[in-house]
Amino acid sequence: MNVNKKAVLAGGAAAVLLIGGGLTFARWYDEASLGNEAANVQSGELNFAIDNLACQWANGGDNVVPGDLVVPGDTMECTGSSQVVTNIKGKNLRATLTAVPTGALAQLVDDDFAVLKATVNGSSDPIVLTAANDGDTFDVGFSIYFKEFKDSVDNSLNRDNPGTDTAQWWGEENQNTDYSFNTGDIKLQLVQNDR
Amino acid sequence: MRVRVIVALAAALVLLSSGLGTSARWYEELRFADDPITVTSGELAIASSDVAYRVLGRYPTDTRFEGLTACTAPQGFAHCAEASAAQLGDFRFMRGDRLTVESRFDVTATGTNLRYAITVTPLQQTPSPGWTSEDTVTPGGVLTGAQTVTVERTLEFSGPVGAGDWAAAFGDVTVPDITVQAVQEDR
Repeated sequence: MNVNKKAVLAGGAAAVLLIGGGLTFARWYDEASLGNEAANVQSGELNFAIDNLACQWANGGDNVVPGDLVVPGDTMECTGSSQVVTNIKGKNLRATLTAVPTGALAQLVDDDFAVLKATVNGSSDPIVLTAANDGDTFDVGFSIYFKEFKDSVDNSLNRDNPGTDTAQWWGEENQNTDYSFNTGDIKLQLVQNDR
Repeated sequence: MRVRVIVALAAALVLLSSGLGTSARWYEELRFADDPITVTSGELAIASSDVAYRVLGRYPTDTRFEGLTACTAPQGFAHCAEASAAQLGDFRFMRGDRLTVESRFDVTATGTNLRYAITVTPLQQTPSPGWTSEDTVTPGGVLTGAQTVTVERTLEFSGPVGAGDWAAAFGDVTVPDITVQAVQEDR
């Protein structure tokens, strides 16, 4: 008698177990290289060069120059002290130029009597640079604002009652005091912005 | 038996990371050139000062002024006398009299852009019944630099007077302290 043996396998992709040398069940795997084009990715750059020049001190109005006796509300503004050439490369790179005090000037700012700002092309407004500014040259300086009132940001702050807002008056504070500093106390930073 | 392997594909992303694996911002920092800058703050201060009292009367014959140091009576007054605080306490004021309290003091004001004004703290109430008060500052207005300032408080008695009502014609006054301020002007 001939017996036809039929092996019936359940539907679906047939599975064949590969058995290693021992009695271990190894996972299936396969590997392949994706794509056939080399992806060229380079990192950007963020730095600047500075060409230090002598300060040109703004005079007149609320400005004072070295040697003047300063009072609340005065500003010492050094313009065109340096020329900065930026090197900014990065599609999504945004960076802000700021002035950071150190040394004696830091103490003046920490005591909350003065505010230090970088000035770029004569403006103390914050400036955000992008790759569009790569290679640009800026006239960079700084301004030191001696606060008119304790909570002043600058002299353009409108106050409702300056004559009676005595809690923000300096009184006899900060009079007859030496606030000398060195311009080298000022660091100029170009810092990448948050995303 | 053929083995068919199906691998799902998605867009592959390769992340560039720094060597240390932290996400640090980029930044560059340089310093301005060294140059020592002299900065000194100014001063605004009032020196303390004494006050001087002067009494003025309108009656041509007035024994109240006997024994007091005479001064020049201004127009409208017949008598003028410099008085100490003790003499002032003994003086019997009558309707029409004037008492002036004067102080001269020095103001120290140093600061290239310093502008200031001298103000007098106003009285919160009339000094005494029947009295009025007025303050003047000389020089007034916005000042610059060192100044010698005179503050004068003028007290006039216009108390009640009736025929024969001599008791009510005399008035006592309590002279309050004069408080002055030197205040920097707004920018």
